[in-house]
Amino acid sequence: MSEWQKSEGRIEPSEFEMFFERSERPVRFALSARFGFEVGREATADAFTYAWEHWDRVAAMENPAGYVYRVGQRRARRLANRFDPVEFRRTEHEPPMVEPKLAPALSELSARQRQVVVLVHALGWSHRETADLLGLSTSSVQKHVERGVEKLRRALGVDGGH
Amino acid sequence: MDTDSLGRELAVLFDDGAPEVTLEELHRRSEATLRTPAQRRPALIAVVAFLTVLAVGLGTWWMSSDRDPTADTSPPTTVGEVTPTTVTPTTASDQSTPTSEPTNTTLAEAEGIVGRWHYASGAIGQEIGRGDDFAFAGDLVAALRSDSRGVAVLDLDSGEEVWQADLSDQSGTILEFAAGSLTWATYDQVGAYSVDGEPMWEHAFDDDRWPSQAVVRDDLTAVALNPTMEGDFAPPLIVQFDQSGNVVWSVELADSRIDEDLQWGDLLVADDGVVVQTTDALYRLDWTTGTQTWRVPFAEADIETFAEIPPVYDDGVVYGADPGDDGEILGVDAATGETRMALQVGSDPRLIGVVDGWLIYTDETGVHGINTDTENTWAIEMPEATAVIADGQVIAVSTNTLAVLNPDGEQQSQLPTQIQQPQPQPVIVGEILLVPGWESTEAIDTTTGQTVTTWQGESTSNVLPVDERRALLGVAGDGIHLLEAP
Repeated sequence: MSEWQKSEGRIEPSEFEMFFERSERPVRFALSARFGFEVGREATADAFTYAWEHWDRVAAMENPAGYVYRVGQRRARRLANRFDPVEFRRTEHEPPMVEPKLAPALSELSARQRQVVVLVHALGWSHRETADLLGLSTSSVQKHVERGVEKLRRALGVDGGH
Repeated sequence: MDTDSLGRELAVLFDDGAPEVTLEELHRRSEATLRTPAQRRPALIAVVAFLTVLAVGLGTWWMSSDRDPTADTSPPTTVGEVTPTTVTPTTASDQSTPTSEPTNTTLAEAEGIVGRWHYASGAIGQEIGRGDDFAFAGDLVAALRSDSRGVAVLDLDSGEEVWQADLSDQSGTILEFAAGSLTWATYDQVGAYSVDGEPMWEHAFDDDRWPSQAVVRDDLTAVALNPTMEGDFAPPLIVQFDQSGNVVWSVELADSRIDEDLQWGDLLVADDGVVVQTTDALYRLDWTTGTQTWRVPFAEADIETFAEIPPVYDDGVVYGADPGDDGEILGVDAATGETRMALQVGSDPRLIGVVDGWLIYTDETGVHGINTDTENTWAIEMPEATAVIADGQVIAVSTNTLAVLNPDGEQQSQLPTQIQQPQPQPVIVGEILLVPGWESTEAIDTTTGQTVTTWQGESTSNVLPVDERRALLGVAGDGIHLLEAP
């Protein structure tokens, strides 16, 4: 029996694990897009830790991923220095490589544009799924995606194409 | 790059930059966090404070060595030491055209501005909550010490330390320095010293509240506290204390959303009420009873976007700006709560102030004015500009441009500059505009557009106006400077 299961019935590991597997990446991506990699990842870990400790309550929620995202967001605000620009420096891992202009171009987008572009294009999420996680309307998501992608294309010096 | 390859590259960038969180990691964290927040916070803060002190110390040592080849290798400047200002900023040698590479010199040689003193507090940018690193009241300056666990109070004219005191065993911040007291806060405590350095009162909160703003009036202090931080959401709380630290009233903002959060900036006392801006609405509470007298919500509030500029009060009306991509400006009658103005504006509006009946604000596209009677508007295209009102005029600055405008938008002058990505809030000292940026603060001659001096600031700096000819400049990892127009 793992230590998880020995934790006095605080959680249902399989249920939480399924939730975690499903939600960790989008929450991490959304928080990282908003606050940068370091703060985003730290806040994601804190938020899911909180969700695990309060799983009975979180599991009963209508939108647990959205709730965990907001917990992470609150944590991130505390971690982030409000004066620091958000940058997206990769680690030194090589390969794979990405377009070198992508990270600085991403920094030029608004926080909201970064979040929706990353969720919609990196995760392939629908506007509805993105809106639910971030607490936005689908029309707002659509608008931010369009503006964000257009800005990225201009910054990267490429034409649109599908 | 098509959208498919854009998506693939974004996924690689994010998975590589912020590697996945594992269940095992949650387990380890949970064992560490099963203690209460109050139990674990001191340990966390101790680690952060240690690292901060270490970083500040190394930064100070590095900077002194780097900027002056003759500097000795003795330990960093001790906390609280006052020195004549020789910050080795840069001064433009060619006065005819702006230059991006001014030559190094001492501050005293800079045209139009001199440094009177420097206090090596080193704490600028070590933000706790949303308080200040330094503030001034009358002829005194309050500064967080570099370990942020205490404050030092200095003489404004000389920079000499008058007194210093510990706040608590946690990192703290200055909430307010006015009306005969210095109000401080940590994550779960708030208290006050008299201007003479005598402890006045102290109050600890049971839960993980976050004191973030305060205002003092008639020997009473109203403190705004954010909701709890660990996920158990609650509405923002406003508490009023008397001079003994007794709670006079304590009010949770009625009708607020559970995920509503307080904005940056100071509380505003207007028309015998305390005005609070949250991410969702403007509120007014009666100063005497705490009773909520009105709440006016923004139409499409983006609860995740913070206004870094507090509301503005002018002629009985409170103006608040809802930031975000769909910005809105509200004008509310402070006494009645009647909405006087509700305008959808551009992305990220920031209120500058009211001058000659024009409400001035900036947004992503430029500088704007709204006539507070007619709601006529004007706009000057200056992308991502910031501005200040001085001597009845609007002085706006954006990347490479400085413009002086009349309140009705008529342009008096426009000058090329070397400024890059200016940040709020610039300050005027004599003829010099002090402009905070991401990595430095620039001093610009408003008559020529010339950069006369630059302070490198490790990404954080603040400028605080003292009067028309003096300002306090805080530079991260360095300390506070009193600057003066000769």
